[in-house]
Amino acid sequence: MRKIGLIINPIAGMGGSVGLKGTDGDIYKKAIRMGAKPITPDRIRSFLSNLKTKGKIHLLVAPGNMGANIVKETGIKFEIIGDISQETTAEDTKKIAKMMKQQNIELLIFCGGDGTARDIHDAIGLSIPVVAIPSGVKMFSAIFAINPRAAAGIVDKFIKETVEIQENEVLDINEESFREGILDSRLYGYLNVPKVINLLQAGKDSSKIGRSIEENKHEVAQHVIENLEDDTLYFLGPGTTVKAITDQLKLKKSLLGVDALYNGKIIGIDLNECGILELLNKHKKAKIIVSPIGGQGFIFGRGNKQFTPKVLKKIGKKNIEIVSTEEKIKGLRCLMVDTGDIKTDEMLKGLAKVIIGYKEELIIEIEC
Amino acid sequence: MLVRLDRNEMPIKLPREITDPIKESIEFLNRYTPQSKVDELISLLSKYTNSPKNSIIISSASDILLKEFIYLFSKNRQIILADPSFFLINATCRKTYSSILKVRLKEPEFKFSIVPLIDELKKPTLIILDNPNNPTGNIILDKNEVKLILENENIIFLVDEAYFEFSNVSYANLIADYPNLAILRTLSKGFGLSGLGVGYIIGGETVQKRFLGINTMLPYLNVVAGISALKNKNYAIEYIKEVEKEKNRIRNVALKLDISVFKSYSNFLLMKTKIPNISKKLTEQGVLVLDVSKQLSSEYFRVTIGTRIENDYFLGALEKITYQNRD
Repeated sequence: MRKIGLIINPIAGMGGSVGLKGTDGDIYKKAIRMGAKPITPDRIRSFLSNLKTKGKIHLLVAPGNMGANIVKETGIKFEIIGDISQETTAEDTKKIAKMMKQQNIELLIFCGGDGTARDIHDAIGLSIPVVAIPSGVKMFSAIFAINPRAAAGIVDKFIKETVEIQENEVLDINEESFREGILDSRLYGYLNVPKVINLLQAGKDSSKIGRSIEENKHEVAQHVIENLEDDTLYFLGPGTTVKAITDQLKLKKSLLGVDALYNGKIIGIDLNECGILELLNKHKKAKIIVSPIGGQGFIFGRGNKQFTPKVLKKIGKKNIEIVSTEEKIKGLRCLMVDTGDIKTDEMLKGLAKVIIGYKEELIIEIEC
Repeated sequence: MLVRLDRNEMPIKLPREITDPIKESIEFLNRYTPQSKVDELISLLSKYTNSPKNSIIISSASDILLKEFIYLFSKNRQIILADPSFFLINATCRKTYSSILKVRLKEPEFKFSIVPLIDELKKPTLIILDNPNNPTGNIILDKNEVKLILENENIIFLVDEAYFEFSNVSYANLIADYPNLAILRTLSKGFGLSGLGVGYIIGGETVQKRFLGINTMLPYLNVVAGISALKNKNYAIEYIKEVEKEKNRIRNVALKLDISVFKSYSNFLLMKTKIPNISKKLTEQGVLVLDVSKQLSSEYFRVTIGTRIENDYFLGALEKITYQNRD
């Protein structure tokens, strides 16, 4: 039997139907007053009814409406972990996730949105892979299954075979801005998710030829390092593809922030706009190294707001180096920018070269 | 039932005019292939392609020629490719020490443009493009752009025309004017000789000189099959006509299912659904299609045009999956 955890955020997604764009903080009470109904029970029922490997799983579930109440309807055997408060909060999610980790679960299934993903991230980090059943209003993080049935498929695959695990982004969307119609996101961290590679297929056209994501990052980093110029200030954007560069140089870099590299040394960590501009005033030559964030291929405007229009104008398009794994950039018609300033977006538009491997680049268009 | 629509093979059996001579030649396999037979195949290819005999370089399977070509011409040259393109082009180029520059083909037209390459083309360069492109099926190259590229003597340009029999678009007639051009062809697709393999290059002067003296022995059966196929083209012509008819039929059904079907000049279709992991779902229904998720994304797949029965089975599976995923 495989030990697997299940945590449900019972209020996730309730804001959506009443136009509240989320239930972070106390907003869910407003949602209830406005007549919102819980949507997670149906999502969990759909997930469990599609799960084919039930017989091979020892399911640990959160108590009450965070799991047990719904799972017991389905007749599946389970064990309840911990206790929760009457009105569940983010703290309950974190507490139960930590307890499940102590019970040595192999996989944690959770149902919720971006907020729940952040709580899970805080509790378990990269220690256990997760499968995320989408149920929130905001699901900009790149960790969610397409629907509950797809989530069941991923769990089945995890149980039946060895699957590759990859780090995907958890985004922090400012819910207040989101309600105002502004998408203000920053990269919050990473969660490990099973990478469901399609089956198939021996023979001539095998598409299995390739490299792992980690090998790909390593190659990209090697290419960048060999081409680093002396006396040039490099602002390194957030994300693991960029971090692979400093990892190879045996330097410490903040995973989610913008750091500055100069002649082989990190001279600025987690810089904001002011910090970047200050360094720019002291150095003649400066470049930015960034990687697309999220599924839509944004290189500026999502997850790296520190690169403000003022910073980007000062550095100039020709001094921007884009790096990406093939996995991230495949299938994208173009890269995107949304800096909040039309003139800056226009400046960034056009063709760009992206480093996608060692001595391997891709020409792709940037649109806005 | 398992329907195999993932390898762009001809789904019907070869006629006896092709298989009988192959059977008869089996008793001579203790001997190297007679030069007279190799010469006969070259003459037939020269006639078929309307190209001089000395421009034809033959090998068993175009894959081998593709690899040889890359090894012969990649040294001290950057390599320019389309993205996506035939996986073997990409995989072989990565084995060289050359830098690779790919140009993203933008959906839905998937056209290759030299506009972003004007400066790049001043450097010594090997360009390899498949036209029709695989997996998109589209004609990505415009003749004027081909000529513009070839004007630069620093460049060696290989156009992979594996699916020429279906597209009827070729730049082979440019080799007389451009020594730096090579066209790669195969008898595995339009002529259905996938199980044997006869590949050939129609090369300009620079290409011919580089290949001189390194010809490899061609297996006798492949040569006999190639000769028989080129002498009895009718079966291929009928097959290609049938592919066109079935392609249109499949396209119409798929469009009704709200699936995007891209223009194709080949014996396959690239489709885009709204269903993730569609290739895997088709496999579960007993239909093998090419999973292109590593090049595009998991909502896309490439399907070979099979027999009418196979195509019906595929369409049935596609319809079932589409309805199951409507929520």
